[in-house]
Amino acid sequence: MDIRRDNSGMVMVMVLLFMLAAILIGIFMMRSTIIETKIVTNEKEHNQDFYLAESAAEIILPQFDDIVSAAAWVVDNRVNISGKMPAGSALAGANVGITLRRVGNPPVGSGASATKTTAYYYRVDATVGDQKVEMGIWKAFPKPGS
Amino acid sequence: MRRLTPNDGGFTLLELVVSILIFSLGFLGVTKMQQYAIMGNSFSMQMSNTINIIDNQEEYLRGLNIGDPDLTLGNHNGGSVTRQGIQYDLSWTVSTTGLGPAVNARDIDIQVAWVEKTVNHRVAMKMFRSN
Repeated sequence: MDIRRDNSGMVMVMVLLFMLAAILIGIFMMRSTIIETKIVTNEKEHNQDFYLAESAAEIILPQFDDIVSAAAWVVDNRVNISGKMPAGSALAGANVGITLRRVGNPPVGSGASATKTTAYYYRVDATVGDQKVEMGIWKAFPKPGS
Repeated sequence: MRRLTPNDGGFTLLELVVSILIFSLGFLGVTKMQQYAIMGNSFSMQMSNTINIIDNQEEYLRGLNIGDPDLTLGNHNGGSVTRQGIQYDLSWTVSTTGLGPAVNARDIDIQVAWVEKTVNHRVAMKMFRSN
């Protein structure tokens, strides 16, 4: 049998080639969809973690006096205050710390007097999941004898 | 008529039928795959819209004073937003935190719900506020 003149079986080969092409296009489309879905899911988790980290840093403020009295203040010594987060909430797993950065005059224009008060500058850091938020806060304490 | 070549039949009817059968079965599969791909992409878009809406609301609530009417305890209805023909309903719930009533802090749960054809979707995100 002459191979060049025998066309039977060629249709099957063509069909299979077409199918292969169609399946490849389909697979790449699925792939891009799966990646897209993963991106969105990641974005959601990323946002949620960021909100919680931001919240953890912020929720320190109303209980600040409680935290100050509970910790010994040494410059650049980070004190873990994760236990101050609301019990049983989404913040219970947050890793929160407070560090005294420096002691000095209160910021100019803040209304706190530099002669009568001393300002303590703190850094609050909160980590939830893979998101970390750092926030600077300061508090003015009256100078002795004023 | 004289035959030019010994075998110029091309393909047989049987071969044609079998080929069409295989091709149509395969093509059905590819069509289904395409359908899933489009559905998945569409869901990603809806999820993106939802995240944007929640993000927007989160920033808004974070900027408010703790005494604002939008931060009173209970359920709040944030109305609805329509994007690409789909309606997203926004609401948020404010409650006290586990820190107790002595600490002026709020536990906020922001929810967005939408209907995709007949399927209900709902996404919630948590945040906390203090004064």
